[in-house]
Amino acid sequence: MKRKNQGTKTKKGFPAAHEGAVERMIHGLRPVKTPMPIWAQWLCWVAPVLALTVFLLSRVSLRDDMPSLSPVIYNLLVLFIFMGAALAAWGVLESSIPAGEAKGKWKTRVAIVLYGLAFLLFVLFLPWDMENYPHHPLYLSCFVVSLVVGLVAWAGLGLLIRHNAPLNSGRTGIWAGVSAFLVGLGVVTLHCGSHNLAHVCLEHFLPVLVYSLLVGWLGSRWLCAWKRKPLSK
Amino acid sequence: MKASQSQWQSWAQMMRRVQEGDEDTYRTLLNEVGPLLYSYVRRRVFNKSQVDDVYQEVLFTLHRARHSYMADRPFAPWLFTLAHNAFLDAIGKNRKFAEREVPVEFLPETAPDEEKDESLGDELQQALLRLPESLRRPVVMMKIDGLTVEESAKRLGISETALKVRAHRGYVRLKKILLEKRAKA
Repeated sequence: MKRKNQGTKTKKGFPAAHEGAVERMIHGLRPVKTPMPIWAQWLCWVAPVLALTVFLLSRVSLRDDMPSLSPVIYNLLVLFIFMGAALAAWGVLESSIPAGEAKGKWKTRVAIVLYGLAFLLFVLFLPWDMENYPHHPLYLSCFVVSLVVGLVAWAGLGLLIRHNAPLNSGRTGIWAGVSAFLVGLGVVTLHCGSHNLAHVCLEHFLPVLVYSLLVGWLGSRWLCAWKRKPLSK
Repeated sequence: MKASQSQWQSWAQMMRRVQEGDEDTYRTLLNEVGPLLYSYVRRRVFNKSQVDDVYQEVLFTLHRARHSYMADRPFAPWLFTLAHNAFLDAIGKNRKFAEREVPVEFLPETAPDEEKDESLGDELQQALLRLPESLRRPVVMMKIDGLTVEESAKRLGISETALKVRAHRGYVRLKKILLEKRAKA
């Protein structure tokens, strides 16, 4: 049966709303700044984050238990963490361009796998115990350091993503969080020499997931600003 | 409604000029792409009174995201990803609005067949919205839009085999959702 209430059309294939919408969009049209290529955006994030990491590690000492660790395993663990951060950042930048979601998805997934592998390396091949939970009477707790470093890295990545057009801002925020807080985990791993399993789980590895979910909420508000832009400036 | 490869290339070039602020090219582009987008929306929105609103929302989303088109990437996936997202946003908004609406005491007289047809549309639309996006888009493109496997795969940027697998999973899931709903009713 033919429906009666089809949208009113001015000419074939065009609804009445088309002309009005086009006029509103064209009114005061200005040139727009297109996003940089993904690799350039990625470098814009990696370079300052690398500088921040080097600066922080130059201010605080590196962990003092290096001789007791297997250098291959330890280096691999650190490599997995930073590689995960870099890969997740690349993935999230790619995903923040419409139609780039599929390209970015696998990179963020591999980043999570690398995070899991880093944890497994620690549990299976590095020495750990269940005693001597470290207290931080003078210095900040590891989860606070991780939060501060991660938030700085996340804000930097968010600024880049915000200029693209992420379609799912909450999810983009979470993946950007994974990338940023892996940097925090990397800094903490290079600095803190605790072998306590509970400490490493609760203050090193777990915050990556918890903080990422929290900044996902922030991202859902902040990263979708492009959807609220007025039609003409 | 389909567009040829050369048309897509021409629209991609036009989009680049739009990014530089060319108003005339923008008008031409919107007039050429408009019917394609309208047809895309009309096939997805089963409640006909919402079609124009959703279409307008799609155009505005396209406008707000016009900066994000990258010249080295194909135009079609960019356009339809935005259109699809705007469609979902608009449907979500409309659904929230409908939930807040106060029902009227006396319904206006309507033809029974038409009413039945509308509810069937709503039911299918709700079932479609419950599918994950990766399964929904192949189903909608192939079964509602009537696109070919080749065209759908191109728009989604995936291989034809992957598209067929996703579409099949989508039909199975959709059937299950509709049957469950009927059983509950």
